[in-house]
Amino acid sequence: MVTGQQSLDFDLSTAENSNLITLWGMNWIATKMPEGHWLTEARLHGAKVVTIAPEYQSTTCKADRHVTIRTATDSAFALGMAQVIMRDGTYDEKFVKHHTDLPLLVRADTKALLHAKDFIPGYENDTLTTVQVIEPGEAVALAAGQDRQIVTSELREEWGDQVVWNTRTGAPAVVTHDNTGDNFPRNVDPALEGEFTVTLVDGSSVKVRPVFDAIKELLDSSYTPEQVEMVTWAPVAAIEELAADIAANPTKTLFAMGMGPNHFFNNDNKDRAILLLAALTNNIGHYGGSVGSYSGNYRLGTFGGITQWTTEDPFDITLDPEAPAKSKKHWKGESAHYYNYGDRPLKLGNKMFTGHSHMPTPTKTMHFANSNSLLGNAKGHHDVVVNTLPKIEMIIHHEWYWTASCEYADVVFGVDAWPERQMPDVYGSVTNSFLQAWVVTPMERVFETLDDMQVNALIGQKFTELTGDQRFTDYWRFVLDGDPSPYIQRVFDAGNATKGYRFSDLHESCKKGTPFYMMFRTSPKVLGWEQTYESKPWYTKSGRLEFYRDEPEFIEYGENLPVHREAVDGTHHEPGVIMAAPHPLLIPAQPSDYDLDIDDLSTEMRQVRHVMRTAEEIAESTHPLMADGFSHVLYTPKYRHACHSMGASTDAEVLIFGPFGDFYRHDKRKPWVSEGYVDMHPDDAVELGVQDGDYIWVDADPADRPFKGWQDNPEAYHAFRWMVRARVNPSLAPKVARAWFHFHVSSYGSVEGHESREDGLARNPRTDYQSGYRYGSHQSVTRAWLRPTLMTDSINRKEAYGQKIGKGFELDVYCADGAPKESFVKFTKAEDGGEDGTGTWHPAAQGFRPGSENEAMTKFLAGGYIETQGSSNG
Amino acid sequence: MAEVFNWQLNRMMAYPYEESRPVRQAAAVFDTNKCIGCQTCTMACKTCWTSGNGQEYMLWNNVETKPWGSYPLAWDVRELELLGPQNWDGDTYAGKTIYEAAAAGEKNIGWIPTDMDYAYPNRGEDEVNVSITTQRYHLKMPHDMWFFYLPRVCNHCTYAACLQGCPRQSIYKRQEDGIVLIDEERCRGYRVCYEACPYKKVFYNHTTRVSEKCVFCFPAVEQGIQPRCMRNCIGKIRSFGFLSRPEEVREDNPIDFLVHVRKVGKPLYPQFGTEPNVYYIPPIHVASDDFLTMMFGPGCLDAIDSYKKAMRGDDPKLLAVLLLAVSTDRIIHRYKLSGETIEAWDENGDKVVSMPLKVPTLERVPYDEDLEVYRYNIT
Amino acid sequence: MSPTVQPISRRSILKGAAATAGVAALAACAPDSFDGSGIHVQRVGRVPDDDPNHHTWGAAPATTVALGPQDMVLPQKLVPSVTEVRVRALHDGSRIGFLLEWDDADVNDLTVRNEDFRDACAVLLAPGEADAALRTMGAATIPATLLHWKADWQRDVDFGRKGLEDVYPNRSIDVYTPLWNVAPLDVEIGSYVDAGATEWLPGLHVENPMSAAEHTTPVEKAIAYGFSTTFTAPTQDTRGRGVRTDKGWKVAISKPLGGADEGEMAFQPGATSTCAFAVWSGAFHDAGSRKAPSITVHALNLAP
Repeated sequence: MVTGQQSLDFDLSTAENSNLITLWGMNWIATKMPEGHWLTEARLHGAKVVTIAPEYQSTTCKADRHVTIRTATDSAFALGMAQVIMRDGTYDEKFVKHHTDLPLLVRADTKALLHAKDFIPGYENDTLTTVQVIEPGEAVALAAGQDRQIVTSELREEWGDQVVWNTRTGAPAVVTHDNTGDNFPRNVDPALEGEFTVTLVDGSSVKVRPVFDAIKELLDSSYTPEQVEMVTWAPVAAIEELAADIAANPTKTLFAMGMGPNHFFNNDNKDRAILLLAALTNNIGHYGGSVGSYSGNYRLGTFGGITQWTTEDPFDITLDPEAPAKSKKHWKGESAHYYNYGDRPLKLGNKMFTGHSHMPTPTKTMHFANSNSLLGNAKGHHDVVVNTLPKIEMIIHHEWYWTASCEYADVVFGVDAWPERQMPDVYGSVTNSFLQAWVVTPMERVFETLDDMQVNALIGQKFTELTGDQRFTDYWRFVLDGDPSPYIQRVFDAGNATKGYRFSDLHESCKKGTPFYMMFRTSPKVLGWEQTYESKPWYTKSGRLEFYRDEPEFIEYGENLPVHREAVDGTHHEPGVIMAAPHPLLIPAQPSDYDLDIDDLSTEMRQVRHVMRTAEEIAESTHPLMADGFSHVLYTPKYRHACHSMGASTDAEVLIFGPFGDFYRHDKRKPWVSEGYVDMHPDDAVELGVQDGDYIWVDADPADRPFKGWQDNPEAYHAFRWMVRARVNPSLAPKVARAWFHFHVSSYGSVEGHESREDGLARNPRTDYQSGYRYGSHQSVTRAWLRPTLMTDSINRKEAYGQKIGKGFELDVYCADGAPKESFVKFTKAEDGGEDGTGTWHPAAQGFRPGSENEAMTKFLAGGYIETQGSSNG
Repeated sequence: MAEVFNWQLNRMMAYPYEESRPVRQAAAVFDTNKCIGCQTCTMACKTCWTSGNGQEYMLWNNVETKPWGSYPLAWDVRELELLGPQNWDGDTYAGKTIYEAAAAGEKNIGWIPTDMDYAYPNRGEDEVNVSITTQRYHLKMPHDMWFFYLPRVCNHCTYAACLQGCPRQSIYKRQEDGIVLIDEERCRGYRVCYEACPYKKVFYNHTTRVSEKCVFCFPAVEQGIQPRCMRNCIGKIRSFGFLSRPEEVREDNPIDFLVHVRKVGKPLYPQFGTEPNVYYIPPIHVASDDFLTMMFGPGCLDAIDSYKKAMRGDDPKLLAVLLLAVSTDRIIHRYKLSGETIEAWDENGDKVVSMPLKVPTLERVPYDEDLEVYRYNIT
Repeated sequence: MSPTVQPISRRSILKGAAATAGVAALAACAPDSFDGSGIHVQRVGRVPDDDPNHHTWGAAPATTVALGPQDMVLPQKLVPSVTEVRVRALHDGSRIGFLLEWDDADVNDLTVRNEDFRDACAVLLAPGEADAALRTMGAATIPATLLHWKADWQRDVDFGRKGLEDVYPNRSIDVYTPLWNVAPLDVEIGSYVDAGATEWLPGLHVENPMSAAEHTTPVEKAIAYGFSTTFTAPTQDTRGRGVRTDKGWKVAISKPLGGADEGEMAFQPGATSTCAFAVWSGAFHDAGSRKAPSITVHALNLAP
């Protein structure tokens, strides 16, 4: 939304080039373990590390500064620091003027950016040198051969040319997509503050002001450190000091986010706010000074030539292994979040919020591979199982061990586990510099499995058998012939960072343990380096980092300016509201405009309830469920003991996952040799009458969780209402609670298992599916949400691969996303934690747990077993 | 009882056997400031040595979060409680060791954990010493609220408690490398060793009914290769090598340098008196000097100062040696810092590491004419 | 670069240690603790070593042997867990047998868990006429023969060797490498023998008697040359059986009169030798030197 690019990232190894590393929820040492040493070694090289989270998290023990903030208030925290920096004038004026839209003029009347054609009679949009303008349908070169940005003539016209107020002439001046960085017109010095009048071509006059000025008014009125402290819990001193530190370290401050406790519904606001902070301080596109939104290895664009594999024309297949494939896309992407949301778009009141380019089709069949997040560990999983799956005709899943996705699949293909793969493959990462081959294993398969690719190829072959059409088979020719390398080589040859490499050389090298460098423009790769150092335009209309969004939808939804929005569910306060005092450019549509009731705070409504509140009002407000004893924001982030949505899947792995591992299962209630748990502050536990290790019930909004219609489905409710171990954890802020995302959810079968088996294991007697809970799961309290600003048809963005810029939906770049990890819950004690089913959990009973420490433990904590006299010479 | 010199206590102490230091002592230095608690070491060991029937609960290598973590339950709290409060006089230990505190008829103080004490091996993970409160929402160095990771293996002690405890002489310390081993043929499973070891790093095999312990991967060490837990350390915190006898210290031996020259590597609970040979660089962010001194001895505060000096750029050599950790599978015997490059050699004199202290940055041409490809960072 | 390494022999360590320990122990031992009371070994047709309740045992007089602290070698057991054992002895011309009876309320016949310690008893046999010196597990020049009955071995003999399944029926394990093809809960020590994979269980691999996959006798024959030197005799030809009584254990033990192994005590009908006894109580964590030995050695007088 700011860069026009999927999102920014940097190789984490550039930490050693940094002075100040700020981690926004990103629990670096726990969720990027292989790169953990770059962080600790950066400190050895003198860098300072800051963690920002609702907890003293793993990485905080490597931090020089830690700020505890309330869950999902990162956007307010960042805007608070932006306010300090604008207030003190410690921003980098040159960077702001040359690389951002902050000097661009906004019209007071339309709230849109002023365009040259608005006031220059007969103005013709400039001919751009940084962009190749093509006619609709005109073919473009493969990514490797693209020398600049590409855009259709249509879209180029729509962009227009933007305008700044030139203080040298006291008149508006046109700045085009070309005019970024050193290409900024020498004779123009744009105003950042003030209000000006421009006479339009029709003779009327309009008030205009720079985006900077509009943002400054918003921040000064609504985001002062005092106001931000009220909402975020972050002390004023922390806001002031960290803002000063960041401003004092231009080009050397890293901002890393993603995979953290701030993965909430509104978290794109957090990204916009952090990018603003980074832009103000010239911290984008530098070694050791940039923004990284790492959230899984989402960027297939790393392999820019991937279209050679994903869009080969199935009607005109290339069988010459040396020749490139002929690309013709015969498929359309769709965000999986619509399926997750009951297989429907977002329509509320009189308004359809899902844009045409995003519109989903009803799901009849699902065929997916090793992607447990699609079903088995999907947000609102139990609602999907009860309410959505019955509408789907067939589910086909590839997996190497029995996950919850397999529990509900019609067809499961047993495929090779990673170490067993006997077909070569290739991979890269958004956070390191390496191109790596998946080396063909010398290991024998443990079971009679196939490679994922072979499964697809054999399905193709079967279609040939059924239809007589050879192309179903030919489409997988090299896989069927036993060596898919030609496909990989085609991808290499077409990609910017891979062309020039022979896959066979890479495979040989990786056999010996040595990967190749990805041939990006720089190593370490820092997205934005060309924009900052070589004045290349960003992938936006203005070619600048855009903090003002003048698309009509954004104006309507009250997010044309960067703002903080309260969480849609996971907040102690009025959910979903926009934090802002009245502002001339912020006049969002109200529920009544959609024929909705402004007092309707139900979950669905919150997605489109664009109500503005000041910090003071937010702080005083309460979540509607508080009256019913709901007390905690519960978030479900990722941790160190398992990978993404693949639950902790081996016994030894879960043994050390959290505090409840026990191979011998002294407590027969334990669903497995370990189990999931909810962390809560010791004081909260006391207040709730819960002891460390007790079992508790966790309930979220009864309107739709654990699944819609639970009141009439006692059998499913029995299985899917969440019962979990409570763990007293002094590291969590009061009133927030945490459950890791990686434990396997309960299925009907796993519940039947622990209710019927001698050993009490929550293991499906028929499938051996092993759950990490007795009842329900962390997904019993989450649900799918759809965010209006992620479903417009008007946002401009680069396509996933190559340099072409388009608008509206683009898979994995601009579409409904989020997988929000938030909920607001109520805890109720269910069972004692004692191993025999009564009394207190052993370690707590022994006095060695927080809140139940005995005399010896208390003495130990104080270091009371040693006294020193005299001086030590070490 | 013989009188032996324990350099970690800077005094003579009582021990059942005469001082007989190995030719060289296999030893390691763990940098707690780099440990990320990932447990890769734990898994590397578990999958290699203790995946058998009867070994389920055994973690010869474990990582626990201090102060709440412990495996077995409160192993150190209980040992300290048995020992009672003790004291240091400068860098000389003025208190009692576990041998000197022994009751009549015993060789040492000790206790026997139950299976239940071995359950929940990662209990306490990521838990801070005191509850977070609004007063602690903004932390600076050192942290008023803290935890740190403590990776543990057998310390292959110079004055091993397990060895002296065994009434059957089933435990021995190898003269060639100081590795402490249990003779699996001779052990009767009396568990006196396991009662005696203050670190609780001897384990009873439920199925063979005799005791087992970390062997420091001696088959690898004999070939000049580091133990598995060290090689697999992705946090790159572990330096493994041979510690020279105190009077034969070599500054170009990384382990000697860290332990005896810069003195940043400190023993774990030196007051126990076993002279453990796994050394720890104490955490720099922990505000409690008392806690650190209790755990790593009085020298730990100076160690932290030395470490911070390296962080400030005032001790390039220490920085270089710290960066050398886990940069090769071979056991490093010698290193040399030349400018911005650190080199290291193994026992055979083969160079096994040549590494810049920082990875050089690199810009490629925007258009590679030979390969006809445009290079971008945003693809 | 590399220092020359002189590996030293394990044996030498042991001999040295044995000597030291031995000397210390003798010093600690009272000069003449021989009280003259002897054990009379009645001759019978057959030593009923398979049945502690067999009437034939009644043919032998019962001697009550006082048990005391083990205060000679560290770690010591200053408060004996059991204070007396009633001893009867028989021989039949080919084997010599003992019946030991003592009180111990708790049954401790498991050695699976860390906290499990076995009940046990032992007979020490040595030459000389109740040579007090030999109470120190023999001496460097005079070996002692030990007949050691173990409650956990008895359990193995009676019910078959079990382990985890006895104490942790609800345990769960994915797989025991390398026994891929055996259901994890069916895996026991024998599975490794069957799979030829004993190296995964070191004690078993080196044939430590404690780790044996099965026991045919609950009694181990061992030989010692002083404290800390006890080793399992090459020939295991002892027999025996222990059963519970209302109050404790009643254990029959026998060995051939002759000595099959080097250092093993051999008997001549009509001759006198030395014997001593010891009892271990698992409830008190007795093991090894933590035991209740007979306060004195006793003369062992075999009937002609």
